[in-house]
Amino acid sequence: MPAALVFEHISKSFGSARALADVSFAVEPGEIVGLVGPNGAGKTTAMQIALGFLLASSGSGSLMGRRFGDAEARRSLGFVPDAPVFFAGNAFDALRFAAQLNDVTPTREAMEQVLTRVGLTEWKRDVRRFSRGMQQRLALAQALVHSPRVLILDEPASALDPLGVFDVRTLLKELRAEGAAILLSSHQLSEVALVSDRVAFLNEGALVRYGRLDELLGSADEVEVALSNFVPDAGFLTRWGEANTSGVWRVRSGESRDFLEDAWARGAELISVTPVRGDLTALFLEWTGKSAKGDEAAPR
Amino acid sequence: MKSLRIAWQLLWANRWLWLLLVLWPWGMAAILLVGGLHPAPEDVEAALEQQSIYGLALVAFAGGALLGNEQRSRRIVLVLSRAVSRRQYLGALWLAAFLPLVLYVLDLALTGPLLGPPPFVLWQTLGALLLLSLTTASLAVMASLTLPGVIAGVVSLVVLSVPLLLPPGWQIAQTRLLQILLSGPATEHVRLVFGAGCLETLVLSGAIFEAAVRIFERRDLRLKSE
Repeated sequence: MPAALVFEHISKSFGSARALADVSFAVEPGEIVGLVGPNGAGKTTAMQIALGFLLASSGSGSLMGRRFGDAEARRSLGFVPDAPVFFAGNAFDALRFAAQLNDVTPTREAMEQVLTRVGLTEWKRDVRRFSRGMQQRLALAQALVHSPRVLILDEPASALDPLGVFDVRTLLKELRAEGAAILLSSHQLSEVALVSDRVAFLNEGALVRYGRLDELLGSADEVEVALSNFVPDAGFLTRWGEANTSGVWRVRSGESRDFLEDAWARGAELISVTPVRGDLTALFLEWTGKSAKGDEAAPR
Repeated sequence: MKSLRIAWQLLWANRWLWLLLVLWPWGMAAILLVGGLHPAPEDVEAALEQQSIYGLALVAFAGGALLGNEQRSRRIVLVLSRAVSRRQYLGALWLAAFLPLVLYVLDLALTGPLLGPPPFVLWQTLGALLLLSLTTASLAVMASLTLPGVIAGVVSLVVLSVPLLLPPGWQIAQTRLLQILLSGPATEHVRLVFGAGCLETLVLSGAIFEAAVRIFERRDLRLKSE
């Protein structure tokens, strides 16, 4: 099945400022791709190019097989902006307007269903007086009311309470199961990690990492090694550092063999070697070259 | 149809302003007629011409401001993230600038006879206003692609007035229509003036709108980042 959303060597500059540089990735039907990166990394620019709001300086892209910017292609698209805005009217007016722009005239029942699905219970009030969380739910309903095959979501849960975040997570998984291709941009890395199949990491306009989440997390693997009958000498400590308070060393997977040989040569007995999975936040910090304290990452 | 839907939303968002506009000719008529005053025909004619200029200015400033407002408010995102082309969107802006003028002209047509101007003065003035506002709407929408709202409005009015500068042998129907608004009705070749005026306006406003679409399709939206 062809990819639903394709970025091919897309670059974008604003004057002399480079916003995106040779970015290529794709979102397949039935998968969620998390688009992550620090502020100013180019996430919004990438999404706006896919939506046709911005024109790529070079490269090309397609949405459901049609070039970015093609209005017909956007009939298959649902978009949730980071800060939704609405015209005057109640939730039904907002849904009807959004659907009609996609050449769909929804029934009252269909609108009630989609509002219920996103957990919006207030239907009659002017939507401009909704709380930010309610507006975000309504924007999600607007994105879903015409049953799109591609979703571009820019921080879809940033204004939601934990229950709302859980609802959105569940909804995204359901939509994926229904075959939707979803591009999800969020700073809530734990949420991205929970739902994404693949992650595209942008930094300073460049695609720094792109791949399956489990592979990317695996790439940061470390192992925890527990030893017994072992008092490390100065040479060992210089090379491998001190054990933690439980007497366990944490070393990179690629260096574990050297570590074990070094320890065995000094008479240590091995108790256990336990793989330590990376997490997306740690990877984020690593890819941006920062440590958890915000300093430049120290070489290991 | 989509353009009309979007235009309706834009107009509804500013409905109080448009309501005021619709009531304006009635208010003016009431002021002129209050206490059984019967203004002189030349005063009525001058008032009508003045109100027509206001109408053109309204189209120019509304048309010049809409795109900027929608980009600033980011409501443009709500529309253009759907199956709406840039052409349809500009069409909506054009309609949102022009349609209130139709109401305004209708109002003037209803209130005008109460003040008693000669019918040919009323119909020529309103006809010229209606035709010139088509061109003004296109000019204002085009100017708004590159200029801020008020400046776009001013520039579109200035460009609209350019035919007045043409030497007599080179004058076009737009020149005559402008002259009707500024210095009174035509007394000869009226059918020719309005026939040519209709044709010329359709071609001119269509060409300007088409150029605006071509430019808009090749431009990035200017969205304020959150």
